[in-house]
Amino acid sequence: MTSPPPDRDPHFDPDERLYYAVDPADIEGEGEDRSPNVSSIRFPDLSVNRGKYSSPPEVLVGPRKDWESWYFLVSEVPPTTTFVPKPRTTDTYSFKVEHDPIPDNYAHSEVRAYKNGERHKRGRPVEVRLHFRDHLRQQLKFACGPGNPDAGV
Amino acid sequence: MTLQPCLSSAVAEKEEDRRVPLLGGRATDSADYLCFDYAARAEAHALVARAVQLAHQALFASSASLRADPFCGLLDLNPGTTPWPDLFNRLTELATLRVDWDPEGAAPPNAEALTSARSFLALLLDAEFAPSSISPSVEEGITFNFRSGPRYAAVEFLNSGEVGFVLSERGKGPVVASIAAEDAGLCDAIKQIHEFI
Repeated sequence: MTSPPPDRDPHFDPDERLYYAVDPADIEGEGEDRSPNVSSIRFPDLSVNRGKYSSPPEVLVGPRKDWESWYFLVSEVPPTTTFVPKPRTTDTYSFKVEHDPIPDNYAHSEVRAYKNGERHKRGRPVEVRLHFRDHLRQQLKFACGPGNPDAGV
Repeated sequence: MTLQPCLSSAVAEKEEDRRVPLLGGRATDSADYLCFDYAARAEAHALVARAVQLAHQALFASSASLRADPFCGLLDLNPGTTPWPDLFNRLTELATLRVDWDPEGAAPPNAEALTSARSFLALLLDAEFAPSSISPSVEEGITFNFRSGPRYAAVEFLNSGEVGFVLSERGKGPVVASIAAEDAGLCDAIKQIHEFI
């Protein structure tokens, strides 16, 4: 891993890659249609590794060592979305990528959700969660597998 | 099976019809006669299919002459051609998922999610519309996945009791909705997914 600067780095380039480990049991399809299922995507806080400070295989550690590394770009994080849940309230959800270093992983970051400008910790309603999760699912691109660290990069 | 209650408007979706197939006059094969309970009837279908598979394997090993059409075309005995036993077995597997199945600590599917998932699988069985896979969800619950080329759909039964579904095609915004974990809502979801996929 690249030597990290001492503090958080709040600047994300729109083209920066965000790596996410996916269990191959949750990946289906053939050729360009091969992609993870929505069941593998979390909401509201999705842990990723910043491409600026890590390489694709570095998410494949510990219990995820046999998984696959997939990525999306910072610019592909869902745009601000307004939902009108039942009955008449209108809530606006926005999403941000935030650098959140943890011990032994300076590259760790999270895609976080904000509801009406405030951090949204537990996801409701289910429509919002599925919208966010499927949006990211669609953006995911294969980076590498456990046995071929350079494939797809 | 010839019934497709979720996919055929001609079939009335009356509760009594589904729960008492003998009295309703809609039973169509041996599994229907084994059980009055809807979910259990679906399991009976899976058991019958599994028994047929095993019988076929035995025949296959012992007699080449019976290989081509051992039951005169009355039953589809090709092992692997029916996904239903594996799908029901998959739910059984998910019921025994370890607490530490997810590295980030998501809980395994609970009884409520499993019960709803069984009912949904039974509806899919009657509709003869199999999902491509069933997976545990990192959101805590069970997800039914459907795929056809670039099109993807999912129905998710969460441990919280919530049920949602999504229709998704690459390059287009997903269509999402929450639905009630009741037959009418689930049947409507099946119809929409079937039309989409």
